[in-house]
Amino acid sequence: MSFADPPVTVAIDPRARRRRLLRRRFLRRPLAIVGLVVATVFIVTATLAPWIAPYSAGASDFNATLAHSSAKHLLGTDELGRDVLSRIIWGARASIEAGVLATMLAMAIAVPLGVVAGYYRGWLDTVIARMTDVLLAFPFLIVAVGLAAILGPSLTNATIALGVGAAPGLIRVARGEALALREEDYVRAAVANGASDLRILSRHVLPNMFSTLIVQASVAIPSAIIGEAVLSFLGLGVQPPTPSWGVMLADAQSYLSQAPRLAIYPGIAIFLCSLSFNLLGDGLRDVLDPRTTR
Amino acid sequence: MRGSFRRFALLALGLVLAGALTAAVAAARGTKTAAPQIKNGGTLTIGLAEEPDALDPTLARTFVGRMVFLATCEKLYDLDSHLNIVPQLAAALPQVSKDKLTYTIKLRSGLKFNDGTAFDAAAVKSTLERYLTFKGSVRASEISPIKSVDAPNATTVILHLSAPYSPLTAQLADRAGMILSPKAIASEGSSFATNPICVGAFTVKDRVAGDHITLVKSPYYYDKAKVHLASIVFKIMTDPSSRTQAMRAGDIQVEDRIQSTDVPTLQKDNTVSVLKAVTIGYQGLTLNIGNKKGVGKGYANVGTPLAKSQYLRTAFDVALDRTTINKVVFGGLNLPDCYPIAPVSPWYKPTTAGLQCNLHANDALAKSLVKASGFDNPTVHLMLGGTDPVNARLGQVIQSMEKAVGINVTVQPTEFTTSLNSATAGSFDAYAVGWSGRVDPDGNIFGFVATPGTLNYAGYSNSKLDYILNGARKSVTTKARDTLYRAAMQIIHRDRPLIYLYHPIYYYAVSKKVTGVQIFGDGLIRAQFAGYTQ
Amino acid sequence: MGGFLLRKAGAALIVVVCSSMIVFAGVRALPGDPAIALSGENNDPAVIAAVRQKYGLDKPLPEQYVKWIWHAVQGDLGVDSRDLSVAHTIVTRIPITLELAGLSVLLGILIGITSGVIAAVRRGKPSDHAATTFALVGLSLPHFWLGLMMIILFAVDLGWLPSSGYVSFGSSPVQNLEHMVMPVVVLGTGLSAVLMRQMRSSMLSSLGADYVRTARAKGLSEVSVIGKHALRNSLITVTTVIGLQLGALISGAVITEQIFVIPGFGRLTLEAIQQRDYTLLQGVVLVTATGYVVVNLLVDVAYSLLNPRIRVTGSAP
Repeated sequence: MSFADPPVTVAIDPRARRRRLLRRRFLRRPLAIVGLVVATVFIVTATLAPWIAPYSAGASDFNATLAHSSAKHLLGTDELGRDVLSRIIWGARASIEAGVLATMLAMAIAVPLGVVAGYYRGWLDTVIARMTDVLLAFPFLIVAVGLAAILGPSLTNATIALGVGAAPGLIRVARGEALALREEDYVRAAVANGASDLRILSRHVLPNMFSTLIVQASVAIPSAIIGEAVLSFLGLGVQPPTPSWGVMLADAQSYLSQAPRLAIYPGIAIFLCSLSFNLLGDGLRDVLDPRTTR
Repeated sequence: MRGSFRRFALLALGLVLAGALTAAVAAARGTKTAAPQIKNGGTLTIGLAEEPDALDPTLARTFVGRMVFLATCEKLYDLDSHLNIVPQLAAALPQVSKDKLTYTIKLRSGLKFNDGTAFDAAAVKSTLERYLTFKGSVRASEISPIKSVDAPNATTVILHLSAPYSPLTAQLADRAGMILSPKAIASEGSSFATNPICVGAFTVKDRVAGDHITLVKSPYYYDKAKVHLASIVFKIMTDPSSRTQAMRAGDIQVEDRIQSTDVPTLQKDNTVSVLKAVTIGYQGLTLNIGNKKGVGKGYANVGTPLAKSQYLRTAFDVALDRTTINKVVFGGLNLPDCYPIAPVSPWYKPTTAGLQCNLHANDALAKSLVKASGFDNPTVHLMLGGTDPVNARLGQVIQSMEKAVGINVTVQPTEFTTSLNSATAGSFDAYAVGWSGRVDPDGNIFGFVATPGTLNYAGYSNSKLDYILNGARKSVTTKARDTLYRAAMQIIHRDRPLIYLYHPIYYYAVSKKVTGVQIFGDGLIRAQFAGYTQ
Repeated sequence: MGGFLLRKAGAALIVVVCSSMIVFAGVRALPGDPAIALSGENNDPAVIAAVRQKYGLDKPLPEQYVKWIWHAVQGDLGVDSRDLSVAHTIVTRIPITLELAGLSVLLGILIGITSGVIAAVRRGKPSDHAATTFALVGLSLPHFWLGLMMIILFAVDLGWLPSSGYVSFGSSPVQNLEHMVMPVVVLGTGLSAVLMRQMRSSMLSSLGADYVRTARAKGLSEVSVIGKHALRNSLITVTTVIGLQLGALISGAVITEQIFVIPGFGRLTLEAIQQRDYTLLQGVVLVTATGYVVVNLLVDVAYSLLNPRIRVTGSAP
């Protein structure tokens, strides 16, 4: 860095300026930063699990079941002699995977349907709205239980059920956004100029929905993470011996009086993981929503 | 002189008082050690582990249903604490004709059904005929050799068989021997389950699906004097942890089948007695050898490594450390074993003589057997018969043990009903399932490994074994049957269509305020003559 | 207003019919021959055939559907595998879940609305931060874990509350409430978190509006300004949130009943699926879908009464 550099005025691209503004607003929010950092830690842990975890997920030591924390096992062992810390690290994979993929699936379903419904209105809107209502009439848990019963319980099916369960809410949001955006001046101008629907949607509508969708995603992810834990807890998601925080909680239920710590650790993991995404989401919403001035 | 007399008097008084005090204490102690008085009245709440199905013996299939029937629907015969068959509604064991085709049963007289009508031979005849001919009767296959039933007088029933069938008496000591009131059958017909009437200490008062069944004392029961409780409530509590909590909180007075992780806790609780029943059932692994198209639809080797190689099946068996499985999965509370018949049964010793049971794993032997099988790193899909934590533990322990000898096991937790479907259709390699057990050895063997067996998920077909098992059904003397079942066991142990792992030991909790609750080797809670002592 | 209602009711009816068809087809998509499942351990072909006939499983699908729906509208939902009336079972077990859900909603409203108002009024101050944090925690906490932790603390360690089960209000009001405390807290926490955040946000936006500043300038007391807005906003918020969170509430009730072993309607659904009891399952899911639609209809009506703008534009956002 040279102090001799003369100050240069450069014309700053408005988009870059906006991004810098957003970054600055974000950095002023300590909670959002905490959320970002912790969420990143979880994602990194999940990705690097094979290298970070001291033991493999299924390594059992039948002579050391329900052991307390020791140098060999930092958080102790479970009822089959498996290292709890390792299983928590491996378990992050199932949770993050389910959380992110389910949300992406929900977005993939919801955004096209919602935008089409909000933009075109008319009979298309009515059909999609009814369909959404029917989807909503089946709570995600029932859908998941049904899917598990039909296709067999697995992480994939749980992810599908969670995605389908989150979609209706997102359809409503996307629809609302499209509804509002189609009244915007620049959209009307584009229509008046004879631009094709596809052009309008891809150039004007979708990009402006982006920030809302980001916020919705960051709120949907923690609810999907908890949802995966619920389904695995009920035996409908990840199947043993693949670890998942929900499965660990289910196993811990039989040992609540003997070793309550087996239920405490995975629960804290779920809590911190979903809290971090929630903080991140809140921070993003505050930053991207021009109406909040805090 | 006066002083010493006074001292003497005081001493004497002291001695008399001490004597009186001791006598009083002894008297108090004495009344405490006298037998506890059973009070009449009160409601006993039993926490059941599963929900009974239809309360009609014609259709009933559940284990817990039999517990409800114990109190409401007596049978021609019953079991005693040593699992011997004793008469209940019958007056004596049946007289069997020389050609083993005619059974004459004498009945007790003066008994009444719980609707006041008389219990007689005509009722037995109509019940047995219903079991044989009612559409969907689950009992039909259990007493199928019965050709016809005669009731020459009110206390005699004659059964005519089409072929000799020694398990018959044992069947009449279970649901097939439960006698239904003809009046109730006539009025309820197919909805007998909604208001079942038999001879019983109690009758069904009401039932809420998934929640409870209430029984009340019957005014018609022949042994009314021995019945102390006014009512029994069976609460359906399928979650074992909450069942134990309810027991400790006093919400229930009897707990059905405590889960292994709770047994030590309840044993330390001094308001509760823990009863143990070594059952006649078994749990193990069924290996799919010939079931390709479904049970009963023709068997041919399915071609998997396990099905093709007897060496591999033996390796699979030998790699399992039954003692460790028992310790880690069940807290050491079950009985590891290698045979379908339980040690509590008088049939155990004679039929397993000369066979070796490996309670500990022999990894070296297993590895060499895997090598000898010719399959390198074979994969076995293990289907579990439930999605509960115990099944999950079992699956993972088996997986871990087989990995050590070079066999890859993938574990598929499956809901019980789905697993039964898959097993029947033959879509499994190995299936972890058990059997609640029957008193007669035929009940634990025939249905599973005989070619016409209706529960032959393994698809095992061995004509020599069929011949032996059929012969065992037809012979009546214990000695002949011992020899035949021993030969059968040798074949099963060699070919291993099933790998038997353990016999369940069921643990039950009974509140110390209650007395008279009994559990025999069949694992059923007998509470009809129980009562409160406090 | 009448036309609006009629349209909404019509839409609701369509949803119910569609749901019933989905339920019917979905149940039959469950793997395995239902007759075998219903026959249990016994594999006698004669038994299986008889079971098939008894439940009408041998008839063509459309015929089965029509027969079922025709009986259903008359209130006869058939008998389950235990020969017990499905309608009777549902009617006995629904009130239990209604009590659980009702108390949870009450708790959620109580905590959520009050903390939301406080947070909005005392914006930026410590009480706002505390309330917002509480809401965040409530949203991030897996509720079934909260339930397990509460069981460990209050039932196993301290022995203050029963860990599971249910006692009807009729037989013992005290025990009934004792058994309900933990489940209601578990189920109500999530709802209160969502309500709090919604309430805070809507209070903030309405308190910042021009007409409010005018009212304050006019000299109306702070309490009456806040009070009137709080009341109106809370009604709208609660209605909207209930409408959106109903599905989550039902799922939450299912899992809460599972953990605390409450013999309610939610648990009945799980049991029906696990036992492959098709008649029971059809009846249960039909009732759930219908109930959901009816509640949504009521929410729409209430919403339109509270927010006249909706009626003009035609449909709720």
